[in-house]
Amino acid sequence: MQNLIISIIMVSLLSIVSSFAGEYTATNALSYTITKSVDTVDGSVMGLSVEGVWSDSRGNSGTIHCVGTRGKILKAYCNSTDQDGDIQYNTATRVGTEGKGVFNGGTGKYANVTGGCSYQVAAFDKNNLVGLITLQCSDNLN
Amino acid sequence: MKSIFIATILLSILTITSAFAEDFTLTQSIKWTMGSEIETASGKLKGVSVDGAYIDSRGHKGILTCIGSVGEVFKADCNLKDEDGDIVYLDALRKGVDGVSKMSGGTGKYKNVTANCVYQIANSNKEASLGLVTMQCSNN
Repeated sequence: MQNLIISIIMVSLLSIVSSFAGEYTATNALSYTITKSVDTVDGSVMGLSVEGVWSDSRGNSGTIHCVGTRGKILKAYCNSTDQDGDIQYNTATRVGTEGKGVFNGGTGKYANVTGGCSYQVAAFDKNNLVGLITLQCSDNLN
Repeated sequence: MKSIFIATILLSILTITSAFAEDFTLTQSIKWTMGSEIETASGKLKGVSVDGAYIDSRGHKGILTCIGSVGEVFKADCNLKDEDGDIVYLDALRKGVDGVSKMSGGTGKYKNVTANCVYQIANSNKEASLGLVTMQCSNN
């Protein structure tokens, strides 16, 4: 009976560890450029391009650029290029300072990677449109 | 017995260190703008201004502004303005990706705060003039 309990505990621990195996954090330094704005039924919507750099808790780093729109909700498509030149495709949706990102494959090691992030605008310089973003992510990258 | 003695000494050192220094970290998102260039006895020197945003491990966040010069080394004087409008006066000296920095008072809650810091350019994009900076500080 004791062996059974130990086995169950071991299996449970392994399951918990494996479920957290793809979790990591990242930090982005971003510069925003507002392009044009249009009026819509939902209010004014601005065009947006974003350039930045990032590093993550797995030891990867690289550049990021995004194009998107910002109205009541910010929506953007982004390419994150890492130190090996591999590109991850992702989308971002944000209301206020809290957002969600979704990974949709990419090139090289990211070809079949899916997953996503929760992220926050941790600090923002409104006059210069420079932001510091903190992200908590999980994916199936091996 | 020897292990206990060494452990006691190590614990004492850690306790003394933590009693006299409060360590904290800062993470900065920066964008720089290069100014004009002059010749000096030690080579060419370019003016630079830096703007950005930061957070620290003490729970503060805000914006930062620096003015300085880039030659063989990067030197700058910076203001970090937090969410309350209080300003930290800070200088920075860097060669390559590693630098040192000193906080020398400021306004409001930072009036008598001094700290020594080391910092790293964790990542940068020169084409976009963007950088991600990590800084580790210890209050004096």
